Amino acid sequence: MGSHVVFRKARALLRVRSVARQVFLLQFVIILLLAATASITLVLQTQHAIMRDARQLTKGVATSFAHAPGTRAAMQSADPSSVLQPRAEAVRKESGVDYVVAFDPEGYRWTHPDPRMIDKHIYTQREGAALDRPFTRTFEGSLGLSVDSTVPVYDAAGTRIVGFVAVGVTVDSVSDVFRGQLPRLFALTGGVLLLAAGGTALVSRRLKRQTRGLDARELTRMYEHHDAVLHAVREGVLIVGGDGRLLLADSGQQLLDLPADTREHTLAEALQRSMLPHSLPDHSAVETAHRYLPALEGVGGDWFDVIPLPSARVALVVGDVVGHGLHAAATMGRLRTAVRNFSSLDLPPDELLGCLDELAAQSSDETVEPDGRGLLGATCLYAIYDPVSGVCSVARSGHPDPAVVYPDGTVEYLRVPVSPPLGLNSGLPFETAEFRLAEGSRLVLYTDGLIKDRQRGIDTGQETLREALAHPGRTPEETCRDVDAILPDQPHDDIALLVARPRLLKSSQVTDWDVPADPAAVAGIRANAAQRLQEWGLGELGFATELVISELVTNAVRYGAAPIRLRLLRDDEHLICEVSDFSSTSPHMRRAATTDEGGRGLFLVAQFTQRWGTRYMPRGKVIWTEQSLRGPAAGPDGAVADVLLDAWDDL
Amino acid sequence: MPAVSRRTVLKGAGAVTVGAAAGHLAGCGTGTEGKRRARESERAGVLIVRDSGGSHGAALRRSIYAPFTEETGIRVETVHFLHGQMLDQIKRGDPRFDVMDIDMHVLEWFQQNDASQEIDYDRLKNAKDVGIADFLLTSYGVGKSYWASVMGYHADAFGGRRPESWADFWDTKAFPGPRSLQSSFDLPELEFALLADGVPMDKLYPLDVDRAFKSLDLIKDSVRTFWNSGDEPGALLVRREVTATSGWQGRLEDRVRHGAPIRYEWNSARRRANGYGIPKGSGNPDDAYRLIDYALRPQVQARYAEAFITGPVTPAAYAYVPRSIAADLPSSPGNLFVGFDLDTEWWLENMDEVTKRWQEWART
Repeated sequence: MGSHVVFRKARALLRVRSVARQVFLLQFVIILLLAATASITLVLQTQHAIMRDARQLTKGVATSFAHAPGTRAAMQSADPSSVLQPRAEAVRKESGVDYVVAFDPEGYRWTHPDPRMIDKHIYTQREGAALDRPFTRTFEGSLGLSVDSTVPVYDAAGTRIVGFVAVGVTVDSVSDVFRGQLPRLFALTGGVLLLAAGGTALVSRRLKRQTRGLDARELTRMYEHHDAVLHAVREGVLIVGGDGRLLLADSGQQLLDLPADTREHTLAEALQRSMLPHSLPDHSAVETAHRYLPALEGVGGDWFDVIPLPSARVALVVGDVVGHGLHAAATMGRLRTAVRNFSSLDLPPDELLGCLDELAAQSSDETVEPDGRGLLGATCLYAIYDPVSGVCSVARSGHPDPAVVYPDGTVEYLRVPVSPPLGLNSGLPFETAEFRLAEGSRLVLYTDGLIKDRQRGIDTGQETLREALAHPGRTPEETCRDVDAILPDQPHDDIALLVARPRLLKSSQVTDWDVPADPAAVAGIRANAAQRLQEWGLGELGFATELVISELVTNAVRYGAAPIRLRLLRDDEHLICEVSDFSSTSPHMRRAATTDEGGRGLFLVAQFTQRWGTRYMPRGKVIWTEQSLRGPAAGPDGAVADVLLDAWDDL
Repeated sequence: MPAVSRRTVLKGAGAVTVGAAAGHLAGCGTGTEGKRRARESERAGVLIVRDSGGSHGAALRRSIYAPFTEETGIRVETVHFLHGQMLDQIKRGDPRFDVMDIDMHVLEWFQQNDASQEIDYDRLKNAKDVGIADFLLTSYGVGKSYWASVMGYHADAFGGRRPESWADFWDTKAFPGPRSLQSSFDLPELEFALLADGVPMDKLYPLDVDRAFKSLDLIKDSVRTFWNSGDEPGALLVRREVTATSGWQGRLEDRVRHGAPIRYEWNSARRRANGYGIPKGSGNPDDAYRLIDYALRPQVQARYAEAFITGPVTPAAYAYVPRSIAADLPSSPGNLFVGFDLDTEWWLENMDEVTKRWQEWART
C-alpha cells in the first residue's frame, strides 16, 4: 500500500509539465549532485591530507627511532627488547602515534605497546596486511584504517638488515573531520536550493508573461506546427486563423534565409516609396497622420491610403502584402491602384474587398513571374467614414482589428467580421460592420507588423498598442508619436500606421428634403434649395446648382422609384447635391442627337460640376454631384452653349 | 634427495601420466574417456593433483597430501605436466588432473585461455576474511604460497667471498667460474640481467628488453647450461658444474638443509606466488575444493612452510611457523625488503615475444 502511494507520487513528480517546475527539478538534481560531489571531494581531500600527514608522521618517527644512537647496537645485542621496549614506548607517547614496534628481520617483535605481543610475529597481528607491498602502507587493521611506516636498520657495513622499526597511526579520524564539515555543507546546499527556487520563480513569472500561459509542450506543438507548414511550401505560406484573420505569413525567401539582392532591394525601396502617399490629402471629414517603417529584411508590401469619396466621405485603407522586396512592393502597387479604382466606383467596403479579392485571385493565377512567383498573400482593411452620419463602415480581409481611441482615452478594438486574406478565392462573403465614431475619437488602422512581434505574440502586441494609444485629447500626429515609442528598432515585418480623427459635419451644413414623385414638385424643391444656398452664402452657385437639382430630381421622378430625397451638404470645400431614390436603374450620360428631345440632362450636370457619380445603396441609388467652393464656379464654356440652350427646352 | 635432471622430471611426469591412464587404454585421448576416467577417479576417492614435482612435490606430499588423505580418506595422486601440456589437455576436454598447483601468472594465463573454472569462494572458508592478500584471491586461482628465484652459489667457489648482487654474478673476473641461468621453460630472467646492468630494483618494469638481452650477451659465454627444472640448479652447484646459478630458493634451501655446500643471496630476489586452480573438465572438483581449503588452514600453511621453506599466505600461519624457519621465508620482512615482485601483467603481455626471442638468443 505504502509503496504504491510512493510509486504514484514518483509518477506524479515525473509528470511535472510546467517549465518552471522542470527547471526547478533540474536545478534540484544538479545541486544535489554538486553537494554529493562536494562531499566526496571533501572526504577525499580530507583523507588525502590525513594520509599524507600520517605518512609523514610515521615515516619521521620510524626513521628517527631507527637512526637513534644505540638502536642498532641494541638490535644486535643478546636481548634487544630490554633496551628497545622502554624507548619505543617513550617515543610512542611523546609523538602521539599508536605504536612503535621494533622487530627482527624474520618478523618477530622486540617491542610493542602490549608487552604480551613481544616475540610474536608481526604478521599475526596485522590482519589483511600479509606482506605484499612493503613498507609504508595503509591497511585496515583491528583499530581501523592504519598508516604504517617501516624502515630497516642496517649493520655497520650497511649491507645486512639487523632489524626494523614500524610506526603506525590509526586514522579513524577521517570520518570525524568529515562530520565536522557536514553542517557547513548542508547549510550551503540549503542556501543554494533556496536561491534556485527563487530564481526559478522569477523565471516562471517571466516565462508565463512571455508565453501567455502556454506550457512548453504547447509551445513546442505550436512551433512544430508552424515549422511543418513553413517547410511544406516552396514559395510562401499564409496561415489563416479560425476567425479568418491572417495569423502568420512568410515567404520562401525568408524561410531559406536568402541574402537579399541589393539591386532588387534598391528598386523595391524606390517602388515602395513612389507608391506610398508622401503626404495625405487634407480632408474635411478626417484629420490624419501616418507612419511607415520598413522591415529589417527590406521593403515590404504594407500600404495605406486616404481616398476622398463623394459626399464628403473618405475611405481609409490599410493593406499588407506578404513578403519583402520588389515582388511584394509591385504587388502592393497593384492592389493599391485597384483599391483606388474600386473606390472610385464608390463601392461599399464589403463589395470593394470582394472585387479586390477576385482581382487578387486572378492575378495569382495569371501573373506568375518568370521566377515562378505569383501573387503573394495579402490583407486589407477598408473603411468609409461618413461625416454626415458619423458612421464608419469597415470591412477587412485577413487584417487585424482597427482600434478606436475614444475622446476620454479609452481604447477599443472594433469587432469587425474578418474575411480570409485576399487572393485565396475562398468564396466566403465579405461583411461590413458599421460603427458610429464620436467626434474627437481616433480611428487607428495598422498592419500586423505593429502588433506581431516574434517575442511578444499578437495578443500581447495589441495590449502594448492599447497602452500606447490610451491618451485623451491627442491629435493624430501626437497619436502616431505615442505609437513611435513602441515601434521596434529593427522590425521583422514592415509596419504601416494610419490614424484618423473624424470630423462631423454640423447639422447646419446639411439639409434634406423629401421629394414627392411628381414632376410638378421640382420647381418647389429648386426654390427651397436656392434659399438654402443663400443662407450658406453660396448664392453665386445658385444657377448651376438649381440646374443640377432640376435635372437630377426630374430624372428621379421620371425614371426612379419613390421615396425620393434631395440632400444638400457643404463642407469647407464642396457643395454636394445628392438625389436618392429606390430604383437601382443606373442613369448614364450620352451625347444627345440634335433631334433628340431629351437625354441631355446628365451631360449638363457633368458640365456644371467638378464631379458626379452614382452610388448604390442596399436599396436604390444616389446620384451625387460636387461643386467646388474655391476658385471659379464651373460653367458651360462656349462649346456647349448650344447644348445648354437645348436643355432648357426640356425643363 | 637425489639430483633430478630435466629428463628425469619429464620421464617421471610421463610415467605418472601413463600410470593414470593405464587402466583406460580403450579410449585414451578422447574427451569422453577423460570424463569417464575423471568420474572413475571420483568414485574411487582419488584426487589427481598437478604439481611441479621434485623436492617441492615431496614436501607437498609430506605436509599437505598425506595428512589430507588421513583426515578425509581421499587419496591424492600427482602428475607433473608442463604448462603447455596442461593447456593442451584442458583444450581437448581431457585434463588428466583435477586440481593444479601452479604459479599465479600461469593461472591467469590459463584463465585468459578459458581453461580454468571460476573459483567458488563460498566453498573455501579458510580463504575468507583471514587476511590473505587480495591479489592472491582471484576468480581463477587461490594463492597458496610465496616463493622466489634467487642467486645461488657454491659455498667454496669464491674463497669465502660472497657475491651479493646480480652485478657480482655477471662479474666473472671477481667471481670466476661457469654460470647457469634458467631456460625459457619458465619466464626468462631478464630482470636479473637488467639489475646486473645497473637498473634500480624499483625501476625494472616495464622491462627494457633490448637492454636485458645486451646484458645477457655479456654473461652468455660463461653460461654452461640453462636449467630446465626446479631441482637442477642445486644439482649443478653440488656437482660443481657451475660456481653460481639462479635458482628457486625453496629448492636450494632444501639442499642446504640436507647439508649441501650451497649458499644463496636474498638480495634482488624475484618473488612470485603459487596457487591452486581447477581446470575446466576437472573430474573431481568437489575434492579439489576440499584440498584447497585444507591447504589454507594456518597450521597446514605453517607445516608446508616448514617442509619446503615457502611463504605462507595466511598471516595466522606465522603463529605456528618455527622461528628457525622464518629467516628463510621469502615473506620474512628482511627478505621481503631486499627483493622485488615479478610484474605478472607485464609478463603476460610480453611472455610469448620475450620467450621466442630468448630461445633464438640461446640457440646462437
